[in-house]
Amino acid sequence: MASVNEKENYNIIEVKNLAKSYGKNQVLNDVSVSLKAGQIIGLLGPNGCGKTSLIKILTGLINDYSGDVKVNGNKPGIESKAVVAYLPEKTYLADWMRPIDAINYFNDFFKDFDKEKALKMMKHFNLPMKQKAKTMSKGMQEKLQLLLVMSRKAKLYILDEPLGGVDPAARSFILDTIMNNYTQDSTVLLSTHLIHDVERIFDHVLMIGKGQVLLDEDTDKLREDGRTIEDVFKEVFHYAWEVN
Amino acid sequence: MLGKLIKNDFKASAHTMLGIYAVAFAAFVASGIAFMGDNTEPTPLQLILAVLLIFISFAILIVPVFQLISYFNKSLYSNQGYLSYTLPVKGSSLLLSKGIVSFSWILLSFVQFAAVYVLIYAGLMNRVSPEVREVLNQLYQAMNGPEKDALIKSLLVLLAVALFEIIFLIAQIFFTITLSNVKPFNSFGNLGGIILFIVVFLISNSIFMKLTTTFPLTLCVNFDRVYLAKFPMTEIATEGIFFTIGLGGAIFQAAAAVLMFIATEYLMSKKVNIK
Repeated sequence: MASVNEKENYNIIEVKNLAKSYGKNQVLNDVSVSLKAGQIIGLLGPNGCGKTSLIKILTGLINDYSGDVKVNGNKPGIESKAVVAYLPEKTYLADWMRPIDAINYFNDFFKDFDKEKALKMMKHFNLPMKQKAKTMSKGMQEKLQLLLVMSRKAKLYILDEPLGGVDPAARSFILDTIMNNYTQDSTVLLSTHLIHDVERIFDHVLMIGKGQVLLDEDTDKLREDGRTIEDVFKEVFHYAWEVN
Repeated sequence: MLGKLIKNDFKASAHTMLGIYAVAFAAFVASGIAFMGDNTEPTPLQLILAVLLIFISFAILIVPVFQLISYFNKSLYSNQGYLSYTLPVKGSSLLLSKGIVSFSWILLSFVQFAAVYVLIYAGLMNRVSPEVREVLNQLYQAMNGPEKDALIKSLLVLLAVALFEIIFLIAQIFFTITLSNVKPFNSFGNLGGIILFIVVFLISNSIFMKLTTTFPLTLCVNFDRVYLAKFPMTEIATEGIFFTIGLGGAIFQAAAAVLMFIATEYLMSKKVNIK
């Protein structure tokens, strides 16, 4: 277990001069940021601001970018993928997979996967062990993916909009599952634009807009003058809704 | 990790492949039962089953190729790519696993295809009169058909060439699907992928044909022996030999397959964006 000093000195994510564009659309422009391990970090910004592109670069899904990116001291690759548990916005399970197949699949590839925990969570979530993913509802598929990711003892959990498109009860369920199951010494990077529901859990926030980092601060400091993170978000991103 | 990838790739593709093999087996057994007996004139049921068997035998050959295209594209470049590309494995392992599994299914399908026709041939030979059999043998010899030893050797050579063809086809498919997911080709969708495949296929096959006819190393199979000749394939083909194989083209196929696998791995690890 890392000491407090080690945690403070250790950057789980280091990004220098990162740029990424899709054709003429520059989504990330000279982004540099270092994020310390052992915190819950909110990656905040309006839709289309580049949150998912940054996440996809960190997880190795986007490879044609410029700049330096390191996750746990390594460029996105085999070593970083072994320590990152990633929950994308999309459902990524193959049609033929049943929950038990998906659990065995994760158990095959991730050394930090806790199969017993996954099986317990599957029962707790009331997921049928042998129903194929293609016949499951979207909600069931999302539950399954959440339990797969949270059954890992990863160093870094990257959760891309886990609360998007679900009702308030489901949001609460998802948030509880994350908070009750992430490994305490690990880091959670959670992207969302629904700040009100989650701001209480953040230790640190990173706000991205116009392809750049607009704010990179600990939440304690932001709350010093009585503002909420949502207030700060509205101040930072007021431009997005301004009428010329 | 490669072993685990292969295991899971087999699991994922087994549903379709075992289904088609089960249908083929059922059709074969039904045909076998229907053709039992001494009647020389085939009944309508026998004819329908024979046509069905031939149809299924070709489906066995085609299905794994479509399965390979669909599975490769789906598992790497659709939503499933979010899982495949975040596994702690090398891009080359992902590629090799899918290559080995696809190769195995296609090979198994070829074996089944061949087995069906060997058994049909054996069944027919059993039903025709000795006079007809004698006529067929004479026809074979008139075509300069090789003797048993030479025939076995040439079949082994043909098998090796067929294996190269399969590997070459898999490499072409993997390369073009991956290339169609790299900009600027990724904006053209599935149609772009099909056009790319046709272009790659035409270019590589024209090089193959050119090398096959001009490279002066040819494997010749005639009535009593199999031998290597240092002449281009086209010049030897006129000398009444049973068949020839241009080794220049075969060597090109092997080299091109390796290059395409390397290029695919490079694109996967450096250029691909999962949508």
